[in-house]
Amino acid sequence: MLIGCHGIPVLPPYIISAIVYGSLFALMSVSLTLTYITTKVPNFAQGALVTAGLYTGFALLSINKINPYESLPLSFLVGGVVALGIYLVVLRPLSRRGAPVISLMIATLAVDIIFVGVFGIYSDYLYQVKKVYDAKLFFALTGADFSLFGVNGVVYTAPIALALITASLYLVLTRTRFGLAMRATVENPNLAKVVGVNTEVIYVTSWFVAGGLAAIAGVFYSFWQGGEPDIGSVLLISMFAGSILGGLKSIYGAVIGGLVVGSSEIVVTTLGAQYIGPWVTPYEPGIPLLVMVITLLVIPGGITSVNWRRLLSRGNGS
Amino acid sequence: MLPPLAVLGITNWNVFLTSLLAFFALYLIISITLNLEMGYAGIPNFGKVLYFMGGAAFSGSVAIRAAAWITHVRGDPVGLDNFIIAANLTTILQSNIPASVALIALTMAIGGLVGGILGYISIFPAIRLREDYLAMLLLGSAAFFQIFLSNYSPIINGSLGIGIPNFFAWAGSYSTLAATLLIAGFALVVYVYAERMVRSPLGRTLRAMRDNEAASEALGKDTVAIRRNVLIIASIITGVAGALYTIYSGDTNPAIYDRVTWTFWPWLIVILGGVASNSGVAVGTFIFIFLMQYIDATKYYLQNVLPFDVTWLEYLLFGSLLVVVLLVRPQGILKEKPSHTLTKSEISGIVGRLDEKNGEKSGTAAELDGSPE
Repeated sequence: MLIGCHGIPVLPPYIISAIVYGSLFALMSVSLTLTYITTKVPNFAQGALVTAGLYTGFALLSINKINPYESLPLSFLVGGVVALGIYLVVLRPLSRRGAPVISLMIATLAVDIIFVGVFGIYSDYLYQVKKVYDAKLFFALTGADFSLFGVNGVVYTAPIALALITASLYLVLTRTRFGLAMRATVENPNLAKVVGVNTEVIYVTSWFVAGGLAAIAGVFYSFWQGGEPDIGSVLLISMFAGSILGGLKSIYGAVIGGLVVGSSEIVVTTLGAQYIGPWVTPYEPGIPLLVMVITLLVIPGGITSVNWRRLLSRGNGS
Repeated sequence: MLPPLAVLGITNWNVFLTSLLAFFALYLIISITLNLEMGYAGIPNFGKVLYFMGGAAFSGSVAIRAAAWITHVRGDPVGLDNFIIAANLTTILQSNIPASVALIALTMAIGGLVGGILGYISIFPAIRLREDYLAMLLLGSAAFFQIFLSNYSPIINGSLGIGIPNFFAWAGSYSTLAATLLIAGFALVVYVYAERMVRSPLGRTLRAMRDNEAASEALGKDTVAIRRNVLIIASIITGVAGALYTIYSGDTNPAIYDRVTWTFWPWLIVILGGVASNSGVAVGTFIFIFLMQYIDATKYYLQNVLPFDVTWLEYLLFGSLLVVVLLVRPQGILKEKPSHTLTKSEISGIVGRLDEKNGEKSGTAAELDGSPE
């Protein structure tokens, strides 16, 4: 480990990058898992939620000069409202008609394509009318971020946000009546209804929170990587990989899955470029796909389905 | 000569109609195979672009190499000189019809082969995974394959793409029309094949398998083998469609093969037209392609007025269309028809012929006629 100025240890840049990426994809995977456990359909419009947050922060910064950290609550709200719209306008009416899973999946893909159009129009509008010349493709908003000990603020804020969100989700799910009702709804919606849980409130809340979390991840992503209208479809595969690695059903699994996928994308690519050759760098998006394939082959239920205690004791015992 | 009149906003109807036919035929092929997979075999193929892209890219790569090899043109056909070499090859092939035809056949064969290989690889997840996992995996695989083509230059020179010679140069000014008719001919073959397949015992087995897998397995149907065969056949045909598109457009470039154009539009067509209905898919293809081509041909009128790219409106329009169809008419324009069966007179005719053949005058046909409805 290198020693920086003031005697503070400085991590190699790719480790820092891995921490940020891991935290961001963990947030996105948690959001995806929240929608999956309630509606039982993989939400292909998840990228749109991330992009909604990302462009809210970007537009407020470019036009109104509001720092994306300050507009974070608004981005959360926008993402939440978009997610709520998807659930209430598209998914709920469809599932009430008893539409099969395939129809629900293609409906979310349709919503994603609608939103690619929406963000396309919005970025063109920013470019042509509001004269924001980087609206169609902008680089990391480092200028709006603070700097601490020589690294960008997002290196601290993204992991802290992830930790706070995970902790509060844990507390809500285990310590409150709402959390209990939510776990019951996820396990068995019909039984939950019978004992008087208003499952609709649970679904609506989950989708709203999921949208908000994805949007926050989008804002952090713009600090680190920038963005474009179609960024969601690029991130989608990594989100799916994180959720699948986490078992698709567990929020804590999604945290770990997202951390593993996000950080391994950076670490594996960097080490690969060092030891194999720089040609491996463009194939970075193959890593989430690889994680997906390996997970489905080896542990189709994800890491949360593995009985780690038994695995460890077997290792230590005989 | 009269100045071109803009009838319904279209100045050149010849170009419009040729392009309409070409894309109608192309999308009919892809949508019919998607319908076989999704509507009959129950495989939600969210990676349709994968087979198309594989067929289009590899067939283009092989086609130009083969053309350069048989005509002894020097240089790397997929390198920096690609466009010069492709233009030279077009001139050479212009007077050599047999070689041009052979190269067309080769291109289509390579497309089918690559599509088939990709389909074969997809079997392993397709028969094991639940539909939602499968959809995510296929979508992801297609996205990665596009990245692979954009970065691995030996195939189609990475993200630059390659041009291929015009194999219909001998047709002179009718070369686009000739390519269009080739696609249309293949689409007709695929349509007739799919229609016959659906009406065959295999078609009825597919429906039985889709509607109740356990029951059809109990009746001794090998659902895994059937699903595998459908996926491979559909992938081969999609690969050939990719090759046809490369021949038609004269170039291949990874950026063309996005999931909206080649996965989502076919899904929209099948759901709009009617899942598990080939005639419905044909109607859906026509409606979609007509709207799309009409918008493309006339959008420059709007472009001057709007402060954004009109293409985004297509995304909004067709994305919303799919959601509305799912909500309002989930069965599509033309509903799935019950299995095609022989009429009673046809059956008694067959039985009568069999009786005559066997020389039995006691007549099963008479019994059949007398039987209650």
